[in-house]
Amino acid sequence: MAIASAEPKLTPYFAPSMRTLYPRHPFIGFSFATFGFTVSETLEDKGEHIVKTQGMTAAEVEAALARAGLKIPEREKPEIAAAAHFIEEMAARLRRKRTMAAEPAHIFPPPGEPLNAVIQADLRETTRRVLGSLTAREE
Amino acid sequence: MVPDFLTIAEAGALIAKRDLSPVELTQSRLARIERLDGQLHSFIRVLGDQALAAAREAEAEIMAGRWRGPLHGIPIGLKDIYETKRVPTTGHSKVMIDHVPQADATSVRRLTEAGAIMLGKLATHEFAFGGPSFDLPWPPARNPWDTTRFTGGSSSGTGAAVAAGLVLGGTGSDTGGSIRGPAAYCGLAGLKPSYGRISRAGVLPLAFSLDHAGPMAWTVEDCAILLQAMAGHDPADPASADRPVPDYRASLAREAKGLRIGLIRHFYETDNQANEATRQGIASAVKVFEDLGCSVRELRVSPLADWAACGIVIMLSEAYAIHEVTLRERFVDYGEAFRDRMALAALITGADYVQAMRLRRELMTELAKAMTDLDLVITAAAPSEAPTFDAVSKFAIFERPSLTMPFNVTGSPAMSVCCGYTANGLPLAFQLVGKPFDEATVLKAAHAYEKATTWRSIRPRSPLP
Repeated sequence: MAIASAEPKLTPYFAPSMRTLYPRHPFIGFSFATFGFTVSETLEDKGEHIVKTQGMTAAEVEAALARAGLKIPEREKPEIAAAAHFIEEMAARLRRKRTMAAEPAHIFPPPGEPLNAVIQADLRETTRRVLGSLTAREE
Repeated sequence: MVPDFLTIAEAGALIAKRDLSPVELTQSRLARIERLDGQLHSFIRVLGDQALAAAREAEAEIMAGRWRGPLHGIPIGLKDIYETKRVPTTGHSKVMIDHVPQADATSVRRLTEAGAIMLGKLATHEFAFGGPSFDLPWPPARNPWDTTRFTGGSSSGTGAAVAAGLVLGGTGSDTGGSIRGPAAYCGLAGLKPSYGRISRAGVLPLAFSLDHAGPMAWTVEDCAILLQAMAGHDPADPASADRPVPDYRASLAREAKGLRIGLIRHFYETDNQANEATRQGIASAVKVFEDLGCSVRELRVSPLADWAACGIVIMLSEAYAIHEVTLRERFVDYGEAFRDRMALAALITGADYVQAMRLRRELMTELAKAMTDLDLVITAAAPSEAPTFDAVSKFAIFERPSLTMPFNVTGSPAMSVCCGYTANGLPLAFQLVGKPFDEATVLKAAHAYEKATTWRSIRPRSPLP
């Protein structure tokens, strides 16, 4: 469902109000039991509806890191887990309504050429539309 | 007696007239390194003998009438991710402490061919990402304006060494702001050119599609001189653009009058709120541009957090792909800042990366369209003056959306320009952004600003605070 919004709503990665949702951990400032976004949150952004995925628990973060084969010192595990929300918040920002054909910039060209082509195409379209709207007298 | 501070343009002119000896200039910088770098830690390797030999060779050439240009005999420093033939290139990391390249990076070779003297290898955040760190083989560089403060990263050594007058210029790299951040905090001019403008061949990668090599120096003119030598097509870099390289220094002579500038105010007023001193600095800079005959109008683009999320997910994903095997095998050989930030990349999915690249395409198109009737964009380069080291947390780069990352996402040329000092004497900066491959306009406008203000006459105090 799209939510119409004329102006972009500016949201930091991790909105301050969300911080208050999580009781502070005695050592690192976050609770693992309630870590992450345990319910789906939404962000209004450019008129689009961004759905966050279920947040990871500390145990899930640890399991993911172990699966990646990273031998993380015990002292650092809770700190990394507590920072995982940054990734979740950023990843949520990337998911938005797009057409199926919206391509990634997966082959990064020297900037300028393809974008210029896009702009030129837009200008051509705009010019065609304006000219098409004119009466014979205005032409 | 060689002055403590000289720009490349000043020294180059004196050398060309044979009023300054490259050997004396190099000796004076080595003496300055000896005197000051114990406090700054900007160098991780000083190449004294090699530099003096090169300076003698330059002097002989010049005396024989073979002056190569404004970099001939000029001592510069290289961020220690630029590979140097038979000289260790470590990325400031234990992981590559024994890495001795067999060839120079393309840009190093070009600077050498232009006659520059390589004074040494400069500190960086570990692999241009993890820092500031106190658990690496070398300490982090310190800010010459106040040694309790951060230089910005990751081209930290270049920022400190240029500001302190230990070198006249240097190389940096910029994946999310690593040239412009240290330039802003250390009071330099720092240019991230267009993606593809300077070869990345032989520069240790952080993130393939976001990495830019570029110059850092005291003035915009010096950056133009360095860029001239470094730029140009290189078949060894698959992203290198085969585009003509204009005469950047000549472009500085042209008037800035008539330039159309878009001000992205929301980046630093709401999205990542800059402090009052920074806002005032930018407001004053806008007035200077208007007085120079430029038109300035406000521009709104997507929220900064979108640009930063896009850039960071791409950066982490690409960097993780590079370091994945070594992270598995030698996790604790990396510094804590690098390894713990990089561990977060293991949580990013393939779909996240693709979504970031889809957003990247949208954002690139958005900026290109927004700049259709503009020549430049101005916004903040940093939200404040340099913070103290203890104010920079391990995950600081994720806490506030970066003001510099948007132009790594788009690959646009972007420059940090000093726009004054706080009441306690710390540099402030703005960022000037051009259209792809139009570094000449960025340099022209930034140079006009420098000439219209007095900031370049202020240097760090000695002894260092």
